[in-house]
Amino acid sequence: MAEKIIYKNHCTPQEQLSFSGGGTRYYLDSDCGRKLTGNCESRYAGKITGEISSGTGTLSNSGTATISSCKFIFLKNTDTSGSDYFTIAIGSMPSVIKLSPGEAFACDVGDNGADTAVAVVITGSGTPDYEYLKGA
Amino acid sequence: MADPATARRVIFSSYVIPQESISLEEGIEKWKIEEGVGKTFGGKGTADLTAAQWGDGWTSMHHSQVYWKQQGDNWEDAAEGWQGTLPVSSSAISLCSDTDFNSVVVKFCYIKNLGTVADQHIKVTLNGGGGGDDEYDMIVPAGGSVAFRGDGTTLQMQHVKVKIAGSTDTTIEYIIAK
Repeated sequence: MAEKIIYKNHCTPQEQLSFSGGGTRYYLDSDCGRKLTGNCESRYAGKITGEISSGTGTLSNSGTATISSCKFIFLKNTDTSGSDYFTIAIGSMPSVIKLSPGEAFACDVGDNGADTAVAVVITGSGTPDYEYLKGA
Repeated sequence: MADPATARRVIFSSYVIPQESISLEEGIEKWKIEEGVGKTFGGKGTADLTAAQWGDGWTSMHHSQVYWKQQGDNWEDAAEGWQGTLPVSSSAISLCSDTDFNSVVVKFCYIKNLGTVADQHIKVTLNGGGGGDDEYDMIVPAGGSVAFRGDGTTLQMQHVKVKIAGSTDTTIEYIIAK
């Protein structure tokens, strides 16, 4: 038996137009012209049973949680308060990715692009709930 | 007739399927949801962007009518509408091509790796302007993509850089917006 993770990140850029008769409406952004989607299998090297795991938690205000030994990471802000968020630091990089309630982040990770696991640290603003999935 | 854009936004989402294989009696291997976690994962959000972006390079795409009137001195250039890619090699490339905007805060970034073979994966840093030459800790496999919002204060245009992590050059599509 083996394991794998497949994932997709999608985005729809939109622009708002205002009409002389009043009213506004969002359209597909004319600078991009289309939606963007990437669909792939994670490069996480394990592929052995038991190396995929998940969990949940709640951060304190300015508190941190560390998800260690990651080669793939999925994080979601599962908070329902509407404003509590957390930021993500991957490996040696600064904590500059923001997830507000309902938002998620999925990415392969590795030390300087190698198949070497790194830690992912999340820092709360407010007391957000979170959910994660990792490939080790 | 509508006026120029009065606002911009990006709706983004992620979907993840953890799987494990099972071997059937007939020797056939099938994949199912990994039993330990027992479900798929996903999330969705909206990033509000600035209506007037920092330049045409905020996306790698070409508008279908960009040919002669928006190419500056290269008015004879032509490109297929809604296409546009950035070559990526072993040299670090900043997604923001105009250094005048190096210190502008990144609100949203999307990178898709158009590679097709396994060793065309790329690596991404979010500390490229801060001496972080060894901090390319995000990986985008061939065919895959990554989407993220900036924190609104620290992540600037100059910090987002890409280079190949494998041995073969590739191309990407991207959006990097203020």
